[in-house]
Amino acid sequence: MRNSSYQAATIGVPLAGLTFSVVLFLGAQQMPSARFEPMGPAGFPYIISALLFLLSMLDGAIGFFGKQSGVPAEALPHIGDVGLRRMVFGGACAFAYVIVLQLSLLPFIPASVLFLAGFGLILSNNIRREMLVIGFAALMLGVGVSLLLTRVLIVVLPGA
Amino acid sequence: MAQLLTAFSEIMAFWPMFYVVLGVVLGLTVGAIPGLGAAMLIALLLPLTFYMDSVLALIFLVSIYVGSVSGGLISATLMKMPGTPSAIMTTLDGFPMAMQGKAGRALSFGIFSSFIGGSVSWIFLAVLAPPLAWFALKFGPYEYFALVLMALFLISSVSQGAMLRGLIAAAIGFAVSLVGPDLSSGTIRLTFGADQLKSGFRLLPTLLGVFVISQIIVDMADTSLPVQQATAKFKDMFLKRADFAKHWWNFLRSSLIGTWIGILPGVGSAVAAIVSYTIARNFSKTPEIFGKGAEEGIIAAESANNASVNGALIPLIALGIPGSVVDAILIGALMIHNLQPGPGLFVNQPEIAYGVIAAALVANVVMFIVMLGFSGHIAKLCAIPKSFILPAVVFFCIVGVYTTSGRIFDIWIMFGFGFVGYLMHRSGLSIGAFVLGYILAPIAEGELRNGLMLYDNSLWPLFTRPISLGFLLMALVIFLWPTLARRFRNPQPRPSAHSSGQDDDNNKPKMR
Amino acid sequence: MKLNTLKLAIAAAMAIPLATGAAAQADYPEKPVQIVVPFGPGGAGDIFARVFVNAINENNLFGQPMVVVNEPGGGTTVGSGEVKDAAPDGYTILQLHQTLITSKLMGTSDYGPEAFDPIAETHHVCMTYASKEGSGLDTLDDVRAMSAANPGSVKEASLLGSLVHFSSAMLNDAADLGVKSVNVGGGGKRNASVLGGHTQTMVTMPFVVAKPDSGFHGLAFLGAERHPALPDVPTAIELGYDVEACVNYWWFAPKGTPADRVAALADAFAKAAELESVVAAMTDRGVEIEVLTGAKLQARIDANVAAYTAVAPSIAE
Repeated sequence: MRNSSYQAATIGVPLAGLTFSVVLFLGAQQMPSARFEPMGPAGFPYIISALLFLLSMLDGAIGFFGKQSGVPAEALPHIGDVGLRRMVFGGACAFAYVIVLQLSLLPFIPASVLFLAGFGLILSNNIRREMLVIGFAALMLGVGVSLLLTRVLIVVLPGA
Repeated sequence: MAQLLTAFSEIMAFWPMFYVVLGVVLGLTVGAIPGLGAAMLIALLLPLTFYMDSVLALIFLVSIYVGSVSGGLISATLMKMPGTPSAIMTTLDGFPMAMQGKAGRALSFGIFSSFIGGSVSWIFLAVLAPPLAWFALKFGPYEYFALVLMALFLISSVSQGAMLRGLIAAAIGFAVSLVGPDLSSGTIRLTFGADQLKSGFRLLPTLLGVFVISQIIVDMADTSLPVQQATAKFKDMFLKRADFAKHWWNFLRSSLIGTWIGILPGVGSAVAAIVSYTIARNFSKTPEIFGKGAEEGIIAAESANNASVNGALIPLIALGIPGSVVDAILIGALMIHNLQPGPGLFVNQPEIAYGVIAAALVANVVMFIVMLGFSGHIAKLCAIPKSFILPAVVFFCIVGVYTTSGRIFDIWIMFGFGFVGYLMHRSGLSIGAFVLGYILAPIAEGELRNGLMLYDNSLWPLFTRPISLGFLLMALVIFLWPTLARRFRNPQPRPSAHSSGQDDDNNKPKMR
Repeated sequence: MKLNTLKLAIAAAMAIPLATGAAAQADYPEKPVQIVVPFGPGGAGDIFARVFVNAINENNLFGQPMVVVNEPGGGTTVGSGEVKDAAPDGYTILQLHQTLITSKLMGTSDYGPEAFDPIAETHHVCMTYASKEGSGLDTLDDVRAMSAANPGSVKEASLLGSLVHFSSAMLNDAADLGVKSVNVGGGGKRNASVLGGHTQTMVTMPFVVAKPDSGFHGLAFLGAERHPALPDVPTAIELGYDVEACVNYWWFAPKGTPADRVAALADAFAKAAELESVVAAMTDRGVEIEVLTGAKLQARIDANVAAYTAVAPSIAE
C-alpha cells in the first residue's frame, strides 16, 4: 500500500502541477492587460504557470527514470478497513451536516447536536460504553455554543 | 514614565484585573481551538464594548489578543493543528517533540518563549513606540518585497529534503492565493465565472482546511496512532538554567525579529514566525533536526509571534496605523469610543495610550501564569479519546468559518482544502511549503507591483535603497550560511555533503 | 434562572419552523433583520452602520433586532452580491456607498445600484485631499507647479479601482494636477505611505486630517461647503473646480422588496437619524447626517452614477 501510494504520487504530483499550470495559463489569458504597471494582473499568473510547468516536468522526468524525486514527507500508515470505513462515514456525516445547514432543513441546534453525536459514534472504539457520554457531550457543546453565539454575541447562525 | 506607573497602578484594581484575566483566558481558549481565533472573537465582542468603559474595553480586547496568540501553541503541539495562523511554524517542531514523548517540554518551551517574546517586545512598545513607528514609515513597497523575499527562502528549509516537491507545493500555494481580487489593479482574477470565488480562497478556510481538516482525516483513518503519554509535572514545566544558557540568543533574536515585523503594517504574526524560524534554522548548528522536534524551532516561532503582538501595537498607538487585522479591529474599538489613535493619543488621552501599554504587559504576565499553572492539565488533553476531540474540532471549524464570513460556501472551501491537504500528506508535498507560498506570495506580488508603479516601472530602487538592499544581502547570507558554516567547521573539501547526511542519523538518538 | 433561559431557548429554537409554517402571512417584521456590511469589522463604514443599528435596537425603533453581518471580500462585491441574490422579503439589507457604482464601472461586478431597491440615505462624509505637513505642498497650486516642473514627481497613494481612486481622478481632471495615482493599499497603508514620504498626496476622510498632530495637511475639501472640523481647508468649489466627492451611505433592499417593508425600514433609519445620541456620535466623527428617501434618494443615486461614469475613462487611462 505504501508503495502503491508512493507510485501514485510519482505520477500524481507532476500531473497536479501541470493541471495547475494549465489552469493558471488559461486564466491569465482572460485577464485584462496591464494598465498601471508593466506586470499587470496577468504577470504573476504567467510566471507561476511557467514555473509550475518546469518543476512538474522535472519531477515527472525524475520519476520516469526511476529515481527518487522525493520521499513522502511523512510515512503514513496503511489504512485498514476500519480506518477506511471511518473516513467514508465521517466524511459523509460532515457533508450531510453542512448540506442540512445550507438547505435549512433543520434548525442549527438539532443539526449540530446530531452531527456531533453521529461523528463521535463513528469514531468511537466502544460504542456501547461511550454512547451516553458522547450524546451528552454533543448536547452540551451544540446547545452551549449556539446559545453563546446567538444570545451573547448576537450572530445569525445558518439553518432553518 | 510617571504616566506609565500611574497606568499600572490603575490596572491593579478589581475590574481592570478582572477583564485582563477574563480576556487572557478567553484568548487562550479561542487560540487553542482550531477554527476560532482572536480576530473573530474581538470582532464579535466589538458591539458589546459599545457599553463598556473605554479603558476597560481596550484592556479587555488587548488581553484577548495576547492570550490568543499564545493559545495557538497548545493545539499546534499536541494535535498538529495550529490553533491560530501564527502557530503554523510551531506545529513543525512542537508536534514531533510531543510524539517523542516530550509534550510537556515542548509546551514549556512554547510558554517560556511566548512570555519572553511578549516581554522583550513590550520594552520597545513602552520606551520606543514613537521613534520606532516613525522609522517603520521609511519602509516602502520594495523594502517589504525584499523582506518577504528573505522569508521565501524558507521554502527550501521546510520541504524536508525534497526540494523539488517543496517548490511545487509552494508554487501551488502561490497559485491558490492568486484567485480573487487583485489588489494592485482592482480586477478579479481566476474565478472562471464563479461569483462565489470573487473573494478568493480566504486565509481562515484555507488554513483550517490544509492544516486541521486534513489532519482530522489522517486521525480518522489511523486507528493505531499511539496516545501520547505526556508527562507534564509542574516542576518539569520550568526550563533549567542550562536551557536559557544554551538558547538565550535565539530567544532574544527571535523576539527582536518578531517585534520588528509586528511593527510593519499588514505583515502579521504568522510571517513573523516564518522569518524568525528561517533565520533560526539557517544559523543553527543542527539545521537538520528542524522539523523533527527542534527546541530551537519552537523558540523561534513562539518568541516571534508573541513579540509581534506588541510590535503591532506600536504603530497603532503611535500613529493610528494598524499593524495587523486584529489591530484594525482595535482601531474600530477606539473609534466606537470616539478616540483617535495616533500621536495625539499620548497628549489628549494618556490614560488610554498608557492603559493599553500597561495592559499588554500585565496580560503577558497573566498569560504566563495561567499557561504554566494549567499546562499539566493542558498536556493531558491528548488523552481525551478522538471520538470527543475530533467532532468538536470540526464543529468549531465550521462555526468559526461561518461566523467570520457569513457564508456556507467557505465551509465547502475548507472541506475542499482538507481533502487537498490530505492528498498532499500522502504524496509527500509539504503542506508547510504550500502555506508559505500562499501567505507570502500575495505580499510579494502586491509590493513588487506597487513598487513598479511608485518608481516609474524601475526595479533599480530595490538595489539602491539602503534598507531593501540590506534585506537582499541578508537573504543571501541566510541562504548561503548553512553551506558556509559547514565549510568553516568541516574543512575537508569534497565528501562533506555526503558525510553530513550521515551526521543527521548519528545525531538523532542524541537529540535532547 | 439560567436553566429557565436555556429551556426557553431550546423551546424557542425548536418552535421556529412550526411558527413560520403557521404564521407565514404574519406582519413584518417577525424576525431579526440582517444588515450586511461588505467590509471587515472596525472600519469607518462598519462603525457608522453599527451606530445606527445599535440606536435602532436600543430605542426599539423597529420591533425586531437588526444584526450587523460583516461580509468583506471581492472589493465589497461579495456582500453586495449576497444581498442582491437574497429573498426580497426585507430581512436582508445592504449598507453601502458609491463603491456599488465604481465596482460596476471597474468590472468587478456586473450590477450597480439599479439592481437594488434603495431604502434610505442617512449620512455622508465628503473627502479631503491631503498632503504631508511640511512637505512644501500647501495648496493645489503647489501640487500642479511641482508636477509641471517635473512630470510624474507627485504621486498619490491610492487603492486602484476603488472609490478613493475615482475621487482623486475627479479632482485631478478638473484641476489638471498631473498627479499619478499609485497603488498602496488600504487606508492605514495609505496614511503610512504619505507620512513616510513615499507618496505625496492622498484622498482621505476629514477626521484623519483633523485629528491633532495627524501630520497631514488638507489641500482641498471635496464637499459643497467647508467641513466644520477643517475650517481652514478650502473647498474645491471655492478654488474654482467643480468637484464634489462624498461618500453617501445608502441602505438597500433586494430588488422587488414590497414597498411597505421598504417604507418600514426607511422609517426606522429616519427615526434613528433624529436621535440626539446618533447625531452626536456622527458629528463627532466628522460625518454629516442627512436623510433622503424616495424620489430624492433616487435622484441623488442617479446623479452619482452619472458623475462617476464620466470620470471612468480617465481611471482606465
